Amino acid sequence: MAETILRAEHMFKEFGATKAVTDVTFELHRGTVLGLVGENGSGKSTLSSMIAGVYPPTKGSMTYKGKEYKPGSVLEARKAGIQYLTQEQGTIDGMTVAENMFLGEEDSFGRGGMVNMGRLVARAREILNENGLKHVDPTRNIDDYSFEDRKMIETARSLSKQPDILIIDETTTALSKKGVERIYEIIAEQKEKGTAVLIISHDLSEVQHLCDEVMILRDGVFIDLLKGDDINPDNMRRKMIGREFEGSYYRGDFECTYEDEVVLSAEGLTLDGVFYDISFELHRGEILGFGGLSDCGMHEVLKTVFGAIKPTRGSVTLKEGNVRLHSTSASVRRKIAYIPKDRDKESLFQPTSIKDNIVAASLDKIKKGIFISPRIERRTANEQAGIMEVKMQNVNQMAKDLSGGNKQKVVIAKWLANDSRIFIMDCPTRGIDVGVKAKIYRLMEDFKRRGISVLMVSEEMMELIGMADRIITMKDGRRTGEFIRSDSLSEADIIEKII
Amino acid sequence: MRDKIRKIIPIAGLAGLIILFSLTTGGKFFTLQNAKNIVMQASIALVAAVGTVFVMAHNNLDFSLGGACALSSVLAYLCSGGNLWLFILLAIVFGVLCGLFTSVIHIYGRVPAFMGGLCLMFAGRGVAQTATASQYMMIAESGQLNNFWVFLAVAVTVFGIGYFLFNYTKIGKYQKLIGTNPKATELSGISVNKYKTIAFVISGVTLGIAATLTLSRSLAVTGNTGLNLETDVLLALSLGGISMAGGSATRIRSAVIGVLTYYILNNGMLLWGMNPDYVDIVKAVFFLATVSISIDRSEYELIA
Repeated sequence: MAETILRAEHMFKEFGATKAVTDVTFELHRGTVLGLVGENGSGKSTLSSMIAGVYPPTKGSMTYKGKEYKPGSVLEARKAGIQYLTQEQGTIDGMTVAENMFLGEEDSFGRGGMVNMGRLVARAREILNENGLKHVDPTRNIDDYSFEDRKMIETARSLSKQPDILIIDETTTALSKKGVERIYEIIAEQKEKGTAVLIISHDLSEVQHLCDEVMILRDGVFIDLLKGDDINPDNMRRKMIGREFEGSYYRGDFECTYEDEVVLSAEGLTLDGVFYDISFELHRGEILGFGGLSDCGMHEVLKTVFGAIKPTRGSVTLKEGNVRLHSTSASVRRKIAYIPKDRDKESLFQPTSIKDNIVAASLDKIKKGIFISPRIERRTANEQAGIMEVKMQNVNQMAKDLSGGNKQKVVIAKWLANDSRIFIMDCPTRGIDVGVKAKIYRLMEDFKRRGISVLMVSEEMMELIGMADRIITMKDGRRTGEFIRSDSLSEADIIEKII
Repeated sequence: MRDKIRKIIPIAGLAGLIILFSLTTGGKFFTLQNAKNIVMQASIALVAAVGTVFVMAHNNLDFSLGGACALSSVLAYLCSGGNLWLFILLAIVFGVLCGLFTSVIHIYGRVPAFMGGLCLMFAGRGVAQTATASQYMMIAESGQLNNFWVFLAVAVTVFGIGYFLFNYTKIGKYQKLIGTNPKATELSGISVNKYKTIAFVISGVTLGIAATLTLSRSLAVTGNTGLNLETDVLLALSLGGISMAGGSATRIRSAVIGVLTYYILNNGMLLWGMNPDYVDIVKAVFFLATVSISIDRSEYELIA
């Protein structure tokens, strides 16, 4: 085995009551690619974030190059030779490309607080050229470049000083084929140079192709370390999920089933600069999915349908009563539910009781005259929390202390309490564990049976294929295709339309 | 545990002050007459504080109170022609208009409400000084309201209605949700702007009532009408342990506890025979002490 460069021992990380990582021990070796695999919420990103200095572990220790390693910040980790590439945008808008590339390292280009911008720009240009980014001008604002260019600039920056450890956290999911290939090349080069590479990816065939070792995590706990022939998608998936599901994980049927009745329609929806001319009809009992890259405009389409964003052109009509939807309150009054992608920022009242969270959207239903009875509030909250099986002490507990999956259950309970007939769900299973995911899928099946319609966006292709009756694909704000549910539909079919 | 201490501090502070002054003023503090005095003084601020709690619950500060009180008093006097009952009605109407002004500046101008409030405070003060300099604005019959039982009844009624609206209706509940997370509130189908405006309207109504009580004490609208009302109310609410960022932790009882603490502190120190200038300094120290113990700092903790 190659030389050990980093050893992490008994790592724990807790966020409030949520145990993100529990007692994980592992090693990174020079010239070796380690894959980190697990369901959403299994602790992969948390673990790599601790190595990269994003936050310290709750418990546990790390040894790096034979010395105790306790990074105080990302910058400190970076200076020690640990580079971290994430799925999120890692650049700061409003600054130039060159400034972004040397953020926090300006000191090396000047003296006494003065930065020699000329030298900084020259060095930036050098690095960009070495990395096949000749078309990028280091003096221009970073926001002038596409997401992919920005990602590649970030990558070039990380490699400008030879790293000892390179962490790649789902970076390839948002890139074009060309970008992905470039990342693969970089991984091979770095491996050759003796860098320890840690890859996080949901694409199991990618993992099989790239990794020498694969560590499996489930619910924050170490499950297995796979080597050689054991690294194959079937084996990894089984270990990730950990048990055979009763029936199927996604929907059991492969038929596109919904009633003829249209419940909601969107016509020519346009939000300048974000999406253009989006039209569709949602039927009773249908799960209609939208697929695309995160910045393709699909998230904003859902928000617009719900009435939270005013479209530049176009309209959304609820067939019952033929009403146009133009505000969130109008939508909720008409029994439409909206589950945002960003749970903590957009749907949850964190320092607030579970009870107040659950009844937030249905006080009109609960009140008698203007009076809202605490007794009925409590009863409603207990009922809905019971249906969603929220793990809690009681409904007076604060929502912020729940785990991600239970938070999402509370959000769903809020909409169940209002007897919602149309569910608009933006990445409803983002960042939650397998058990809760399965629960949400069963709930969606139940919705279909009861004639409730679902409009869903997902960044996981398998989820769309597994759940939706129809899938509309989007790219750069425009509709690029539509797929009908079938058992022959593959991820590749959809990816072709979104990249 | 820390949370529990934080919650108990304001009421413990109030109880402590009562005991302290009862023991150290040679019996002057613990008399019916003195209690009546305190209630008379505290009522005006309490009435205004009840409305302010709604505004603070959705995470805004209202700095307009004093100026708005002066402005609506002057305008109400001029339009009522000296008729007391018309004055009361108009004071409430102009109070509401002041509240609407602040909320329009806040919502459509997209600036923090205290900016609009500050403008109203200065403008109102200016208008009151100018108008009262050229005209003596007396309503003598308002003196019949200057009575302990009237003040007590008004304060109890306003607080009672406020308590009900704040805890048992959408109006109060939505203010707390908005203060906790405005985005999630809007995305739960609640019109944030509408409910913020309602809070300012409520604050305007209580302000109009406070203006009437103020008039009855001096029988006339003067250049000093409503002077320092905003600071009195905000200091009192802080002493009452109100959540500075609004949200679910906001309790309307902070208004009663805070206002009583504030005026008992004032009263007790005067009974000690302390120089009024020093009283202000002690109030400031006491304020700092209470707030630093009782404030919720979770907002300031760095979340990585």
